[in-house]
Amino acid sequence: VIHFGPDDEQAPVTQTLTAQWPATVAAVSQPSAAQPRVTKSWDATMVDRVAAGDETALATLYDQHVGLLYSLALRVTRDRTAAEDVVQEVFVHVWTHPLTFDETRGSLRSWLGVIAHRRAVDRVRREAAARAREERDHRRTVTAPPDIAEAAATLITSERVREAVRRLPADQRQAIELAYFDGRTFREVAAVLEIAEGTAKSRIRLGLSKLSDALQGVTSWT
Amino acid sequence: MNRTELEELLGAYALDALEPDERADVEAVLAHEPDLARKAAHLQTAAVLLAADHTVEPAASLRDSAIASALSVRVNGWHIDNPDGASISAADLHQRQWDDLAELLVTLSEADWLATTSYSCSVAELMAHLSASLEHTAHRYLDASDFVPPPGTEDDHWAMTRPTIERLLAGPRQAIIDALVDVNDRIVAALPAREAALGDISDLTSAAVLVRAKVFEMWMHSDDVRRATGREFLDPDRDRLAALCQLAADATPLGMTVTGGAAPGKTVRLVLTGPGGGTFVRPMAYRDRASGDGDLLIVATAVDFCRLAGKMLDPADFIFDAEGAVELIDAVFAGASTFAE
Repeated sequence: VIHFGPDDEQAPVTQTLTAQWPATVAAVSQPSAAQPRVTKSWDATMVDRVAAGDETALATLYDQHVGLLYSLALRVTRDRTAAEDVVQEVFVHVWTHPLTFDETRGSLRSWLGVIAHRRAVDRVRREAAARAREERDHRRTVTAPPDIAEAAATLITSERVREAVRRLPADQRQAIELAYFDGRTFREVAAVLEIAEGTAKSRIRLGLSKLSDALQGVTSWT
Repeated sequence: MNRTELEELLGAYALDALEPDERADVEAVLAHEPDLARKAAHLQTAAVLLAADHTVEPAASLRDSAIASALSVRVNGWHIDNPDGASISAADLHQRQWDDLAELLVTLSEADWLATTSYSCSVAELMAHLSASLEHTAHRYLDASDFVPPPGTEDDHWAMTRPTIERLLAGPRQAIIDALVDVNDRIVAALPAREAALGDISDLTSAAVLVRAKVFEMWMHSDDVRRATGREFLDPDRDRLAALCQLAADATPLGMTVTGGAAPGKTVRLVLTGPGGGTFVRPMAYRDRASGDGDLLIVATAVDFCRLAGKMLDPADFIFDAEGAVELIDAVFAGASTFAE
């Protein structure tokens, strides 16, 4: 994509018709003097395009982010069909509510990931209310993808993420993984780990803050 | 919930590890605490990064079904975020544009009326010209005026208005405003009953399209008055912008042919963003057929594109993104500006 516009984007838009009355306004139909210039935010452009109903922009977003979204949903739901449903819901949400994306709060990729995770967690919790936990755990075992490690190796940032996770104290890492990938509330995490709720809450907050600090520079990914 | 309690919960919030009512409480606070909202967003980003450790591609078939599922919620060809852009009557379109101009005119001082417009005529002359131009439209398409162009001026948009200009300039400024009020009232009154008989707006040569296109002229002259008198430009509302985007996009193939820039077999994808925007896939030659996703993608705000189409914005000042057959950009812009001629 090439960005075109005046040198100073902040300059006021000015009327430049130069034809003399009563001549027509054809004077401005001269060939464009537009010149390529610095590209603006890709995320903002893509969201604007989706908001304008551009299906090709939606398809581009799908191609760029589906790997993350599907993997995230699969980690939480442990079910391929459910993960596909989550991905579908994410793109319906993007298509119908693109302007809820706030660039000042993070990248488009991160926004999509947050939506996918929340949908996946909501789904797991709905299922948990309807089925015995043991039954769902059994299905997880059956449907867990066999090639996770190999796929993860292709991600440039995965090693850095692994390293950051490895550096976390074990109790904090465990609390985060139970909450994030099992879709448990911090109270459920406390129950599983047999610790106080406040302790679970603190471990999650401290661990996530450390992760956030350690992964600050991974902006190209997010 | 105090700030300390909230901060303690942010980690669990970022991991979606709260009960629904707790999540709602946190979000209610974050809506008014931008620094905490940013902190929460950072934690959420870190959480999402955890998934980078394990990525798996879904079945290829998911792509089509996910995109089709999203597109199925499109409303009337317009995006769901722009439901108001679906339709607006010609009378409403005209009335709203006139209302903006009328509000402007009553604020003009005598110095403003004498200010020089981009046509090198005064604001008073330009508004008198507009009143005659609208009389011509009312006469020709709506049977709502007895305006008769001077002999030999039928094809000269400016010359035909000269007698009206001279007459109105001889009177008080209020006479110009009264003339505009009068002709706009007659146009708006006549349109509801006449619009259907004016033809289909999908036919670019129909009177229905030409009448709607007059809104471009009113807007163009309004902006010119604002510029000449040191006032800020005023953007039309989203309904009008939607209608004007539609007109400009629909006019592009014919305009490209008329201006000699037709590119048979090529397709342009105009993605017009912001209020009133939409996506328009159009052929680059009259009576040609659009195909595929487009050979040229142009992304711009709807309001800027309409200003460009109305020749209120110089192409050199137009900010847009483009991809594909960029050598055809100028031809597309010239085609989109057909109504301003």
